[in-house]
Amino acid sequence: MLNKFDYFKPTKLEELFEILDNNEGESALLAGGTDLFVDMKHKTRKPDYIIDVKGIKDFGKIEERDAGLFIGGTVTCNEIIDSELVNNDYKILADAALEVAAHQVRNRATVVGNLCTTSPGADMFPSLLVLKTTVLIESKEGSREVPLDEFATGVKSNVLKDKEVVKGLIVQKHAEDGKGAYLKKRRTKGPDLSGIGVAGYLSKAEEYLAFALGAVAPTPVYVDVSDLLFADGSFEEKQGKIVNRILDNINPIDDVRSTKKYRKKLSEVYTKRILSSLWEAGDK
Amino acid sequence: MKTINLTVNGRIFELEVQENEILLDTLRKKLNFTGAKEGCGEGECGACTVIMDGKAVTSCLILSVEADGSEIETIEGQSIGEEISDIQKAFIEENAIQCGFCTPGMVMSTKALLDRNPNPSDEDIDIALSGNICRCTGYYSIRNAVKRAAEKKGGN
Repeated sequence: MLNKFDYFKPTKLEELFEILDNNEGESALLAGGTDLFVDMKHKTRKPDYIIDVKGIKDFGKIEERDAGLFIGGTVTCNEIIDSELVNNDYKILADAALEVAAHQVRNRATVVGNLCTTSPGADMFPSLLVLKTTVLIESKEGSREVPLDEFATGVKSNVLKDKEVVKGLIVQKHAEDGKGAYLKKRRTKGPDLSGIGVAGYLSKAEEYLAFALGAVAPTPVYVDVSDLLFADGSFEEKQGKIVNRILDNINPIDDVRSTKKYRKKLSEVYTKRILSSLWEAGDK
Repeated sequence: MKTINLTVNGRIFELEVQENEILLDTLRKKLNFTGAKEGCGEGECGACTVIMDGKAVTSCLILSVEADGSEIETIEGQSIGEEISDIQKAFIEENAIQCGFCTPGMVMSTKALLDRNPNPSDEDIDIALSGNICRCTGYYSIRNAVKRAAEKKGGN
């Protein structure tokens, strides 16, 4: 049984800010609800009022803009998986979205919600990090943009202030040769939270290579290793340096989903595996 | 209290619900559609799966007020009188049912899949039913039932 609360469904942002101004107590923004209602059932959240943002039309858009791909605040994981635009130019996002929970939950769960819950192992984080993503935040005072790399501040905490809402994301468009991969370790073959998730993205045209890892530190870890790959030296040497830099940047723990030792090992193995798959044999 | 409109299996209902009421409870307790089951109550098991506006969803994680204006399909809508649907027949023929608790959810996930993809591959089936857990049968008979249902419906 959920605690009692008031429910609002604004159709415009201004209306949303009015509701936030006119109500007392704890608020909760509702997109997919697949985290919020689980928390409420566990009594770890007891909002006095809930604002359902699904009534705001622009929040439902996935579209190409000058700055890159816009993903609105209520776009679901399955909408990302089914989007032709995403599959053509941002395939790694569709691959990552397929790793979030199970099919029915993905019909409700949103990409932005996955980021706003800010779990260290959130599946959408690593792929959006390596693609370079900007979070578009709105409040009554105006708009601000935060690079996704600076969005998470701790386990389930982020830079969002009271009365702010994430309108959507802008994902940077990369050169045509760009490609990425996301590997996730889970305890079972079926849907599970990640023991570790590693995303990598390479564009030779841009001389850009970056990795991002989930569930290996209090917040997802982004590591740009372009300078190491696009330098002199053998592939093996460069690979060793890349792995070392990544290991220097992570700080995994033992918990129910994996161990510190295994997470470190998998960070190395998955990094090498992704690097090899992105870097064709002939280029070594 | 809020007044909402729901279309369930083609029938239109106007009813009063509490803001904190969960769709699964409204269906089961107020409208007497008891086919959808509460297993985990957290979107993990899929026993509460219904189709909402064409998409399979876990009704334990949706507020009834969120469902206002939507079209819901439940297991009760799958049979016409005494005549059960092709999907239900396929589940029986493939012995994809044992205790039956998960079956309404399995059937609804299958219906949503075949409605959008009449010729699903094994991978498509596994993805579409990934959120439905069965403790009895194992999953091969269920996958076979989905394939048989697709054949019956003219796909595959």
